[in-house]
Amino acid sequence: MPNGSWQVRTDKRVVIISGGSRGLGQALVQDRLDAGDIVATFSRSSSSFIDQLRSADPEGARFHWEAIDGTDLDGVRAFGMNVLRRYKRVDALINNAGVGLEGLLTMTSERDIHLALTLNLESVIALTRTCLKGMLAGRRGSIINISSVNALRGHKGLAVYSATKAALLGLTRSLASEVGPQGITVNAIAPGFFESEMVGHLTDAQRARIIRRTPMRAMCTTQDIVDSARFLLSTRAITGQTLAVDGGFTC
Amino acid sequence: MKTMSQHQQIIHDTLRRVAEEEGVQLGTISDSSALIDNLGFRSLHIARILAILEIEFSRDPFASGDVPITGLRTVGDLCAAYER
Repeated sequence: MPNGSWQVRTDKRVVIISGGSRGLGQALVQDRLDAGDIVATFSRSSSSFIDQLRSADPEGARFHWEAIDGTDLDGVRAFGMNVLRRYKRVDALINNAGVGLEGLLTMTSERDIHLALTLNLESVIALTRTCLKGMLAGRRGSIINISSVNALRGHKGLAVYSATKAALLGLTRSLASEVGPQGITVNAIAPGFFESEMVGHLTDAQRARIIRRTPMRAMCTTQDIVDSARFLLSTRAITGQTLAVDGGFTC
Repeated sequence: MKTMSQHQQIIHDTLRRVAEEEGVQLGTISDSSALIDNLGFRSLHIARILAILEIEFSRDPFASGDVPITGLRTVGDLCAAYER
């Protein structure tokens, strides 16, 4: 057997969540910590949530954070390897970080398009590729890609955003087929509009229209997405699937 | 008899461990042994071997594309990649 620096030194599950400083990422980080997992996350800048966790765990025994811009692909790769070296295992990855981009395609700058493709797709692939090294070594793992209902239905002004989120579904299906034999599941969650800062800009009329078009007559909550992620992490029987968490918006 | 370097020893140990876990019946390992054609590994097994070696050696010689992964055929090729 090799010298064994890859060997497991903790019996706790190690979960990497990109973009864990606020919003859905923050809720996912808190849920995994509450479940007893070790959590590693990165974000461009810190937040009061991150500051609190770091001050409560200065040694990083249960929580690890780095300041990384998701468009810095070398930084993202290095983060994944840092976590692997530090905790000697990666059990789960939730690709949560992403950027919204709204506007008519012809009026969207090439710069913004490039940013969305890099952060929402290329960065996800880079982090997944790195984390897979640890999962393959350990022959176990779960990957969840946070996509969007915009990947499943067309909406004006969201062509580029939809393209990046639909690309994640292709990544999910093909990678699931590729790494399933090594005990690794790959799934996607496609949230609909859910109560968060990302829908804070909607007018009351827009909110009412969305709710009227939703069979369950309510927007989902961040907790609904967190519960769905917890379910996908709990099972070995589901892989390559997209779970729309949208109150029936896309049915 | 030529003694193995530490790199070679780790690589050979990793090949044996992965073979055992994946149910691959390994014969004698030599530099000229082809990973797939002689030893019986499949492509996903080789991906796993490379993942373990990257963690062990803290580097991926194939990442930049300067060492082409398509040229990786034998145990000797694998050892040479990490000896560079």
